[in-house]
Amino acid sequence: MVSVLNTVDTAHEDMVHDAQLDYYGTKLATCSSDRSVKVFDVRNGQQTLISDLAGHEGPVWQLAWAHPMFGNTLASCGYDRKVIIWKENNGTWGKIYEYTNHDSSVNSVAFAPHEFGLLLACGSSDGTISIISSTGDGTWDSKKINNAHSIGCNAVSWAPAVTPNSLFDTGIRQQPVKRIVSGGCDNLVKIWREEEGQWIEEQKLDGHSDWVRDVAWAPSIGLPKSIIATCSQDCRVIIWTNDGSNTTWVSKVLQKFNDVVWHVSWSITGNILAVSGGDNKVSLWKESTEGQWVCISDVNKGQGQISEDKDRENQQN
Amino acid sequence: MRIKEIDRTANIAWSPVDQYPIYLATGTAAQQLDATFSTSSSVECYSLNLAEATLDMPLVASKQTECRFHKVLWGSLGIGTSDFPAGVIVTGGDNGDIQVFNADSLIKQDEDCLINKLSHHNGAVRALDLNPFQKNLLASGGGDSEIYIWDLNKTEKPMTPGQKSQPPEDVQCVAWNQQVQHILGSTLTNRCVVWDLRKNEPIIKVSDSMSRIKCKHVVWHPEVATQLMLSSEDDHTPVIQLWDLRYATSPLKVLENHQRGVLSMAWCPQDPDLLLSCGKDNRILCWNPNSNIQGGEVIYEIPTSNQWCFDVQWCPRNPSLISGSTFDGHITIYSLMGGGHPIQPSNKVAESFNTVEPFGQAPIPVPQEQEKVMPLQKPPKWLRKPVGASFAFGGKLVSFGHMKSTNPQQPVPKQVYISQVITETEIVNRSSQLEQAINNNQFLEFCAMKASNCNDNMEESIWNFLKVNFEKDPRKEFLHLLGYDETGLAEKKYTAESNISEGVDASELAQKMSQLGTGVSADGLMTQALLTGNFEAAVDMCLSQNKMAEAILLAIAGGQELLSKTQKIYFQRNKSHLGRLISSIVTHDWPHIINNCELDNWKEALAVILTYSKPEEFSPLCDALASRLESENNGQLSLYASLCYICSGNIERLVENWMRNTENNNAPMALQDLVEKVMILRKAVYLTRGSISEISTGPLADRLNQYAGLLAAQGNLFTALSYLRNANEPSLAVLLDRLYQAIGQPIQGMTQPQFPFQRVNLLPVGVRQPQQQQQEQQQIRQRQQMRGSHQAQSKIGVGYNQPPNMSGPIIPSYQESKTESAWNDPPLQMKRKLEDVCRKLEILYDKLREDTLSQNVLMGLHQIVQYIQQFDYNTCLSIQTQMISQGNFSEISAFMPGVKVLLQTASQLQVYLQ
Repeated sequence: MVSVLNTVDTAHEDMVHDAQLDYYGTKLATCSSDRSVKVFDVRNGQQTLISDLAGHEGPVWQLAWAHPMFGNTLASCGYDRKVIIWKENNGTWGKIYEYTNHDSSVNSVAFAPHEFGLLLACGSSDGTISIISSTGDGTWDSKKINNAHSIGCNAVSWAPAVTPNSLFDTGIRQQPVKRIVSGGCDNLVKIWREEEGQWIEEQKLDGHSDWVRDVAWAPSIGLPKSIIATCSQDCRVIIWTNDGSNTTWVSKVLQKFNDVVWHVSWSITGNILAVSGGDNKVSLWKESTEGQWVCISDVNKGQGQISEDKDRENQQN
Repeated sequence: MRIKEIDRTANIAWSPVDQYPIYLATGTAAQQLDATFSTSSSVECYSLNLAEATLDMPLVASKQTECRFHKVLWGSLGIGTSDFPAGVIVTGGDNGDIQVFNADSLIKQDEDCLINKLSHHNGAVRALDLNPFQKNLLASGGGDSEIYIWDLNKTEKPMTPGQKSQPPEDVQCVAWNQQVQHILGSTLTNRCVVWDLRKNEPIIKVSDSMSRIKCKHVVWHPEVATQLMLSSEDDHTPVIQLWDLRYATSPLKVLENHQRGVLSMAWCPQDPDLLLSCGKDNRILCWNPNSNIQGGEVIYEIPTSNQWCFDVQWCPRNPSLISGSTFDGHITIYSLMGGGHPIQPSNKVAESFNTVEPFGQAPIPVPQEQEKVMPLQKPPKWLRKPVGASFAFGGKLVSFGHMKSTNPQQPVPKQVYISQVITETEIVNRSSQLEQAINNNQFLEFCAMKASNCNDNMEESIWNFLKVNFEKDPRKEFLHLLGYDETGLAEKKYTAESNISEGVDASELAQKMSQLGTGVSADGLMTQALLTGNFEAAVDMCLSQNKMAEAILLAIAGGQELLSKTQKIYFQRNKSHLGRLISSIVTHDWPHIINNCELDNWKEALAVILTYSKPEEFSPLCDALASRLESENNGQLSLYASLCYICSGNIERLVENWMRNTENNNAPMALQDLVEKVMILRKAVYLTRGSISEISTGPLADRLNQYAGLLAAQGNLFTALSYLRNANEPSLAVLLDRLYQAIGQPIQGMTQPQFPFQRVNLLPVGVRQPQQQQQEQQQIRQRQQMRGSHQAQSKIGVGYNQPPNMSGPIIPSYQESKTESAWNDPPLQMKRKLEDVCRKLEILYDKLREDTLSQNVLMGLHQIVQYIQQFDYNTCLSIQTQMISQGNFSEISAFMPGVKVLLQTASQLQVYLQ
């Protein structure tokens, strides 16, 4: 059951490319081809523009909210090869850091689980992944995974901090392992692991036959199982699972969709997957007790449209 | 950015969009010789191995052919079928033949990969195109204005699109319209003819009377049916013209940037705003053909070699890749996305020079790392994500889409929808029912409703038990539920009595009394005792004759003391179950019943304590019984323990029992069941006892947390919060905070929970230049301060054995803590060392003041200072080493050793410089 609570008119002048609610669900950030990032207050059904952030020199592709322990902090990335970190300070939003070390469009940004501190992964069309970090003392550091995906990385996502793969580890390491999953124009999905400060390729998942558009590592639900959803230009969504006992990832194709699948997103509790396709359709998927993935809801983007049309009718009446 | 390279002078074709993996087919280019003067020719197939970061493309298959080629095509005819699983490769030869290969067979290096040879053309076949709608329709153009339309499934007789265009010239290019399947464009030397195959005649001739262009190439707009591009290979008019056939008197736009004739064009099928062109000026340009800038807008230029580029193509499957073919014998694959990952130098260049080559040149150095190439200025359409839906806290889903505008004048509002996703509808309903019942005190109704909806006996009795908690006399009602009905019992007693009909008649008694003798017989003794009122003796006598009933009757008459004595004796003798029961009841020994009863008779035991026990001992007794039910008989009766806990109102234990007995107790529904029971029972306990303890820890708290999380995920934030409200366990703090903030308004009777994480204040990085200066000044100040402190020996900015985070002046604390020891009396060696350091640092300060240090050294010093602040001396030392190895020796030798010693000492002593 999906019902529209709030229709926010972003007043962007061009296509919207991402919209994300913060940790509490009270602030909405949007970004667009019009080069701007906007932050709205959406508490209790309102939609008040808090800030219109200018700083990018090209379309802004993606946004990520940091954990609230770092204040109201937002990262954005765009075609101008920049990653910008914005922060609210006494009610005023401003840029606190700009990372310009990519040679091509930066397509994806994702903050690590807060347990690891402030860590931001960025995937770029130059084929590299950057990991930007700050300890909060004004110094910013970055590492780079070169050649992560030849001719371009489209998406990055962090593994939850409670990595259940205890059997992989020898037991010496007590700290959770940092892992990133990435997808790119080489049609591959790759898993990276940090080891002694270096990022190494742990796994290469080959299943898509066209660009991997998005990847999403499911939040941990306390089981020793890792789940990753990936979607692709080849109109497929693949669910990759690892049972935590070995390094094998089992893939299951959700279904072949009618159009390019652009985006996958897990619910906070990790049991529902939202799949967004180029045909403007969003579908929600859930794993049944038999281990099958079933579509529990088909949301036409129209739904929003319909309710909005109703609003208009009401206004006319 | 250069991605791949093939050393061939060849015409190429990318594998079609529906073929995966991506290949590149090449056919040796006609009328071009390389330095080997080889005249051999072949069709080859290369695979695009993007996984390898090398320039090489592995050759998959190669087949010798008898002629060279002007044009190669790769069509998707038959893809997905067993006939041609990888489609067909069509070549136009300079001998007039059109050859059709089975691409799959070619890739598999099958000898019989040639499936057709079409020999109808006079003169070389320079132009070929496959219809985008009917994959089997091939258009070909040869010399003498010949254009044929072939059905690849039936190749015997080609069709013509109409009468030959006059005068007879070589056909340079043919191109099917991308929107209307029966429209074909063609170019001859200086005109473009558009044919309608249904009418079988040319429908329009496009020629510009104003400029003298030499049409080489024609491409159709990927989306607008009436628009086409013409390119001119004439060096005097190296232009590209956009024509709209609706106004075909003059070109709509002219793209002017090439300096010499344009040899090829390609319009991006995925993004009509991108058009590639290449020419004799050795350049590959990317245009936005839809831009209104006069003369056309070049949005990208790919740096190429020093040779004519005669062909450029988009990779159909990967639009950020293009191929460019040059006359210097290279086919190069470029990425339009810029970037420059290090590419291993191709050793092919070196290899080729090992062979004996008459026209060998000096080897061209291949750069180890390519220069950084910027991406396309205009973001291509395929990067522009049009849709998205992302989850957020509370089961919210944020989504947006790209609506096509119905009215181009009025742009579609860019809206974002925030929706509520509810997946556990039943739980949400049940939770609101429960909430309602609790708020409106409709417990009886709620329990009755639950009980009547149960299809499980156990569940039903649980709900009934819960229900009676709210009745007037719960204990009596519990008895009813156990099957012991007071009135029923009275009736039974009555019937039992009437059956026996042992009424004692006074006259009968008198009669019997008269018969009593007072002799020495036992009866006689008894009578004597009785008549004398010696009850004790009488009882003893009865007992000795095993006349229990008489004994007890007499004992009653003989007073309390005698009675209990007699009862005791009776119970000692009578070992029957009933006897024991009576014993316990009479002696008020409830624990005995509970601890010793047969567990199968738990109902009876429960009934007994319900009936007889005092309020204060009732609950412990229930619990004791429940514990036995849980632990004995392999826990078979464990389920019934929950009823006992309900009677006793022991919520914690009820939860534990439930967890043991519920399969899959993490499932949302199970959780809902539990919460309903627990909340109702808590209410009942509250009503009877007037107070109830808060849930703070233990399994129940965990479950409620889980339940609150579940409700939160369904968007029931308020309800979720109400379950957490009074919980003060730290593990709940995260959810509590999140719920409170998500609700976003003050909640009555609740203070804002503390933020459960340690805040980190991110500091901005200032603009580089002022910061550097500031740092420099800071550095000088710092050094000066250090210098001063060294001299004074007490003012050193050092916290000895102090925690690193301590701030403010350190001297007092140091003196306090270490007055008598070490520092005031440093080892002589170290003292000397430090004095030396002081001198060396003086030199550094002088240099800093004079500003004579080079930028590199300053940078290094900054870094060192930075790491000193982080107490990372090892990194400092490594930077220092690096500076020494790279820096100008004379510049830094005077002070660097001092810095090093200082760092080493600080590191050894675990001293923190501030």
